[in-house]
Formats: sequence, structure tokens, C-alpha cells
Amino acid sequence: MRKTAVYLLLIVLLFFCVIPFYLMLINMTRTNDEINRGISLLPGTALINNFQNLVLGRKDNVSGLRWGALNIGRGFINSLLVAASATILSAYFSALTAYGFAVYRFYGKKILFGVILTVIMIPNTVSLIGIYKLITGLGMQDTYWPLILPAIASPFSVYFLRQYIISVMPYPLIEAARIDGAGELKIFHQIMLPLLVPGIATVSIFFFLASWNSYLLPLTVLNSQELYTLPLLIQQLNTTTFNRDLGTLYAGVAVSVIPIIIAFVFLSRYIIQGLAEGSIKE
Amino acid sequence: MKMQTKSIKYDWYGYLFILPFFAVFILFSIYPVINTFITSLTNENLNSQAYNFVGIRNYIEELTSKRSLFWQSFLNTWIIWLPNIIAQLSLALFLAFVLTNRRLKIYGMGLFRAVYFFPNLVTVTSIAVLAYAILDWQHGMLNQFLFGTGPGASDRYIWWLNDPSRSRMIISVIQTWMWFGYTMILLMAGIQGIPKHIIEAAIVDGASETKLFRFIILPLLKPMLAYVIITSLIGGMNMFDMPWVITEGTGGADQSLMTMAVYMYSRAFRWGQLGSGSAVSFIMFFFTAIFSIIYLKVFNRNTPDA
Repeated sequence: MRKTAVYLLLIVLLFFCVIPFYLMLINMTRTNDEINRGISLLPGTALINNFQNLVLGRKDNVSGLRWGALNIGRGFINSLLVAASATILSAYFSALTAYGFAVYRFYGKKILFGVILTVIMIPNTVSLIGIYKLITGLGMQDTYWPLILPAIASPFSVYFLRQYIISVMPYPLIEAARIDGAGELKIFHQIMLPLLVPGIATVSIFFFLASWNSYLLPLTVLNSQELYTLPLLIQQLNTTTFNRDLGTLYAGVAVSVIPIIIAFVFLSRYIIQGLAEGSIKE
Repeated sequence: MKMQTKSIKYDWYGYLFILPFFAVFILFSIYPVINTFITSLTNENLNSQAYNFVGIRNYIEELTSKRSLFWQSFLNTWIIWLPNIIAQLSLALFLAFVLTNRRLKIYGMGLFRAVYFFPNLVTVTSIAVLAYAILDWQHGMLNQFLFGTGPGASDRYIWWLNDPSRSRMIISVIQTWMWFGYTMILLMAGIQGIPKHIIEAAIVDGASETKLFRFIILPLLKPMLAYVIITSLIGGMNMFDMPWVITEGTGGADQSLMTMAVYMYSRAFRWGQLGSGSAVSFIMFFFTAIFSIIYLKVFNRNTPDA
């Protein structure tokens, strides 16, 4: 009896988590009129039409011209470019930094690592105006540099990878390589990096997602529509242009959600495992 | 550790390995914080080069002036965050306990865990646009679901985002929906980290589920609860994306969705007052730090063994 009640609650919650996304997928295949007539659990036939409206703009009934297009494909590629570059930089330099902290003993190491741990807790709103002034000063306004370069310093990834290195560290192998005359950088690149791949993969998933979903910094940095990342374009769906065409609006949101659904289907095990590990090691 | 004693001559490489990190870190993390603080002491404007130092006038203005929306944004932020953390934590605690309970043996734990966590991964702006469409007064699915679409049904439609308290409550519910799965996963990891013999001993001694939860699991989960609450507090006090997108940057009905971060951003980039905006971001930071410290102090007093 008690078990039935628990299952009931679990299934109701399951329903609440799935239904908004399910209805989004259904509504992206329906016309605006169909959507206004009520909720349907079955798809319609307007999928292609909605995407045409989204990407090419909606057809004006009088002139026959299309206007109000949202270049969502471009936004998708922009987001991919930014998130992938930032993730690669973050992965490499975090591993490098974590290795430095895990392997060598140097003056000020504890304090410097303490600084990293403190900064993890500082929210980005505190530095936003400072970053804006910095990038304006450096002439980086309306470029991707301010979204990509800071990835070299990712405190959380360093913290996570340092733990990981300590747990997989092949001390005898490193000693042997040193005796053979291998340089420290070579040891890092040829012995350590391959061993770190699982750990790097875990942090990279989280870093990629954070970069992909990032909104406040791109909003502050980017001015040109053609440089806009996906969240900045999605936000424009909320304006009156698309408000009158809900099928198109749902199609636009779906473009941003579907890749995450697909990624999650394949990676959910690693994501959830990584999440648990990252918090347990506090 | 053994190796380190033998490797004195290699140790200077440590600086080399961490150098790129700290170079970028100082430029993009430390310097902007200092720069924001210095800006907060000036009357710098977005569109003009000239500015003067005005001391702490921006701070006094933001905290005491009638024209300042700081205190309202402060209250808005708390009214959105507090119900959300209570609901989120209660739900997550219950679910984590139930799903890890070996007497109850719930099937499909992996599926529930994954699906509950999913909303957390979706871009906040997409969730906000989706929520906006679902909550829309005339064409939203929520009204269609509750009141139907027949003749006259639209007379009963509710304008969800038109009322200040209701708007804040809606954002609060969306936040709970987005975060309960995440919190549940952390708490499940916490429960699974409790040594098995402790729980088994309690079960052998005949502890009821309530007692097992109250006297064994809850006290041992305290460090994880602290982590969840502090990180949620920091995130919640800085909430920007959801209220910004859902109100198209206006702050919503009677400014009810103007959170501190939305206010800071508006001050700096809509109204162009970089000085005042910087002061707001430091006041926000100050309050977040104070509340985190108070929480940790109170929390540590109650658990001398933790």
C-alpha cells in the first residue's frame, strides 16, 4: 500500500518532467491555429512549414514576402564553435594546472590552491561590469574571445582533475621516465594525459553544457546578430513577432532542446556519476 | 608523496604548469572583481569617458534612496528563492530516501533519477521561452488544460504573469522543477556514502523508517545538505536568466520579477550607470557572503561533531 503510494508519486513527477518537452515536440509539428484550438498529444503536419517560418521568415499574406527570419542554424553553429573551443581549452589547461598542483611541491602551493577553491564560490555577477570594461579596453567587444579565453582558467575542472590525478598517479612510471631523460612536459603529455582521459571526459561534459547554456556573458559581450549564440536567439522568440506564431516558437525552442535530449540519452550515466563524484569529494 | 622528496630539482616546474591558468585567472577573474569595485566608487557612465570618484555615495544611494529598487529586488529574490529551496529540498530528501531504501526496493531507480535530472540540463532561456508560451494568457497550454477551449472558456483564463505574487510563485515553482532532480542525485550520493554497517545495525535493531531517516540518515547528511543549501543560495541570489527572459528585461508586473541580478544588469547596461551597477553587484555579493557565513555558523553550532 505504502509502496503503491510511493510509485504513484514517482510516476506523477516523471510525468511533470516529461510533459512540457513532449508537448513542445508535438506543438512544433502543429500550425498556430491548431495550437490555439487546444492541447493535442498527437503530432500535426506543419513541421516543415514551421521550420520554414523560423529560418526563412513568415510569409506576408499581402506581399508574399518572407520576413522576421531567425537564423537558428547559424546560432547553433556559433554555440557549437564557442562551446567546443572553450571546452578544449579548459580540458587541456585544467589538466596541466591540476598536474602542477598534484605532482610538484613548491612555495605558495597551498595558498594558490586555496584561492582557486574560494573563487569557485564567487558568482559571476560580481565581476560582470569589470569584465565588460576589460574586454572593451582590449577591443574584444563583439568577438568570441571573452567567451572562449577565460576557459583556460576553470577552477572547478582543476579541482576535480587534481583529485583524479592523485587517484590514478603512476609514480614509478614517472620516475622511470625521468631516469630515461624524458622532460617534464613530455611526461605530462605522453604518460599523464592518456591516463586522464576518463576524468577529462567527465569534466568536459559539464564544462560544455555550462558553456552551451551560458547567457549573461554572451548577452553582455555580443552585439551583432550574426554572432549570437543559441540562447540569445531563443530569447528573441519571446518577442511579439513569434508570439503570434506558436508553432514556430515551439520549433525554435525544440532546436535548442533536442541536442540536449540526444546527448543525455547517451551520456546520462556519466553525467549523473560525475555529478555524484564531484560533490562527494567535497 | 614519496616521490616528492626525491624531486626537489623538478619542483620549479610546478610554477610552469600552473602559469597559464593564473595568467588568465588574474586577467579574467581577479582583475574584473577589483575593477568592478573601483567602478563602484565612481559615477562612470556607459557612454561617456569622463567620470569622478564619488566615494561610497553609490552604496548609500542604492541602500537608502527612494528611487533605488535595490531593496525591492532583494525581497523579490528571497521570495523566489526561499519557497523554492524548501520545496526542492523536502522533495529531494524524500525521493533520495525512498530510492536508496533497501527495504522498499523501488524498481526503475535509474530511470527516475535520469528523468528528474533532465530539466536541469536544458538551457534556462529555452525553459523561460517554453514557460512563457505555456503560461500565455490567451493561447497558453496551461489555461487550455485547466479551462478547456470551448465557447466562453477564455472568460475564465488566468493571466498568470500579471500578478506580482503569482509571478514570483511561478518562477519559484519552475526553479523547484529544474533543481529537485539535481539535489536528489547529490543527496542519494550522500546517503550511499554512509557506511553500510551503520544503516544495517539500525535495521537489525528494528528502527522504523521514520527513525532511520530522522536519527541516522539526516544527521549524517548534514555536510551534503550544507553544500546543497549554500550553492543554491549563491545561485538563487544571482538568478538572472529566467526572470530576464520571461519578462523581456522589464522586471515583470510591478517589478515583481526584478531580482538583484536583473536590477544590477539594468542599472549598468540599460540605464548606463556603470558606477551604480557595480555598487549593486558588490552589495549583492556582500549579502550573499553574510548569509552563507551565518548559515554555516548556525549549522556548525548544532552539529559539534561534524
